[in-house]
Amino acid sequence: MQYLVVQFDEDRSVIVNMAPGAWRTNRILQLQAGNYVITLAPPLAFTPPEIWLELKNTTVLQPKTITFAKVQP
Amino acid sequence: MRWLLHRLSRLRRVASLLSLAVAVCCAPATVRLRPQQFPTEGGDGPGYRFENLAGGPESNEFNQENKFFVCLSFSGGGTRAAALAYGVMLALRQARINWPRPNETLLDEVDCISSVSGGSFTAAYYGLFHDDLFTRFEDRFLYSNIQGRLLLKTLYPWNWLRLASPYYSRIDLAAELYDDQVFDHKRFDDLIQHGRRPYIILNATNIGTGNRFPFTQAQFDLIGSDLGPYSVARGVAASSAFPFLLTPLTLENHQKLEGFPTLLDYQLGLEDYYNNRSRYYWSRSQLDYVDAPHPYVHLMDGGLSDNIGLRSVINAYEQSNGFISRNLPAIERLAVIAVNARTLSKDTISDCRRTPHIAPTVAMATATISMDNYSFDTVDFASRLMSELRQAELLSQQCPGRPEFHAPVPYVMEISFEAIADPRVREKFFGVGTSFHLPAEQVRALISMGCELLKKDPTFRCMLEDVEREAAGRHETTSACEEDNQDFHPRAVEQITCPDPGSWPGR
Repeated sequence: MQYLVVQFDEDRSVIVNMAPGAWRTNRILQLQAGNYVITLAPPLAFTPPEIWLELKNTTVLQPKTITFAKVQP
Repeated sequence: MRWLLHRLSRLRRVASLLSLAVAVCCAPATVRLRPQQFPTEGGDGPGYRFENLAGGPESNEFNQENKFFVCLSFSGGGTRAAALAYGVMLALRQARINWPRPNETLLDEVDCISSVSGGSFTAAYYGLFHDDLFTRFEDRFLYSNIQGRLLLKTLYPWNWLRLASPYYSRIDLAAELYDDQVFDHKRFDDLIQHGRRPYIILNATNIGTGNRFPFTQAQFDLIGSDLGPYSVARGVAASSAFPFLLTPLTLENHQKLEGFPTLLDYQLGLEDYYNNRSRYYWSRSQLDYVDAPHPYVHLMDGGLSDNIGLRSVINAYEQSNGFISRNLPAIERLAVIAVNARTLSKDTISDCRRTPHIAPTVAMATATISMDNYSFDTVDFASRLMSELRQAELLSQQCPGRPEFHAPVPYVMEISFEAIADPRVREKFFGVGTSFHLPAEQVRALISMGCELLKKDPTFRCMLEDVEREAAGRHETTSACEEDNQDFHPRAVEQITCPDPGSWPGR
């Protein structure tokens, strides 16, 4: 298993490969190793619109971190 | 002259009968004799998917439904497997719990059942008829001579004509029998309309590729078909089409229409050859239905690719698009009960110096050896996989100030004859044949044994200890299963009364 933190200014649903789930921002998520497209649930006022990444060589103590930023509407 | 006219009239009648026979046996029969599959319109929405049952991501009960997540897997083994699984269900139904909701049974908490072969009868029947399982299934299936009825059906002359067609075979006859005798012509649409869990996954094997083929809408998306109108009995027939005894069941591949969001997951998986080979190979095998489509999919016994039925559960946990993985952050306790009716067949091949004959010895061994060899590995793998996250959570708790990490407490159990303490009794159970007709006393003993084995399973007992502590308001960071002293007597276990085993095999 690999570990990922999706940073965002608020608590929001995280969408992995276009599929919704119970994943949330600012917590450690566990996913199998591999390539993913990560985005957030609406409202869509954040940037970038999506992040493509490859998850490998992470641990729960050293998860991969990606960040979405709020944009003003 | 009158004699000639009479002869001509008889010839005409024979000719019309022959042409009728040809019409039944040849191409048009494909359409008439096989249930039609309806190509889907695209999209990832409707259909028999876990998300569309009660407690899906959009529903208010999401957190309650997922707190205690229980999956069962039922192995193959004909009536032996169906009866053992039924015994486990009887025990689950009597185990009363008060967490996460008050006054429920453990059976109410079951979220998914994945099955192969004989186990698929119990799984599908419970999915369709719920509590009727405990009033009618014994008579309709477990104690019924299904095998004899199938044989009788093949003796009807009108079935000879149908069986003469290359597009109709014994598996179609078996599916008709299961439809009439057990499943009341129910469709997958009936499972959708119930709208409640458990999610039933009937697993077959695609003999063209050797891959597992679950009867789920996600799999049917890839062959451009709607699973809804498809007969559940045919799904069970495919799942239990034992090599040599039954023929493969054929589906048409309508080919997927564009626009399925789930495809993205597979396309990304194709980039993972060096990073995650299991994801890469799974993605490739799934995309083959789309990228290199064949017009037909021929299915046989699910045991050929996984005789314990657990792979679908592991995939759902491991893969990011799996229904367990997607709900994992909401799950507090995750239980997997693998009911494995594996027996030990005597090795008679190794006693003989002569090279074994290709048929039937080598052919039968080739078809069945792999069915059992990977069962232990699969249960072990599931156990390791699920405790990995638990270990990660315990580790992260030692480093405060980091982002929150949550993993469910895992409970992986295998219910198998290996756990029978008395070697003489164990030997008798290992000797029960694989058939759809067992003596009534064996069926009775198997049901009782399924119940007893679950009741005494140490992980089952400590899991219920955890649940009872939680219900009493004692939310503990460690599990009873992680404690040194494992002598637990949870009330829920003590409430289970297993049925009388009868006189077989003699105690």
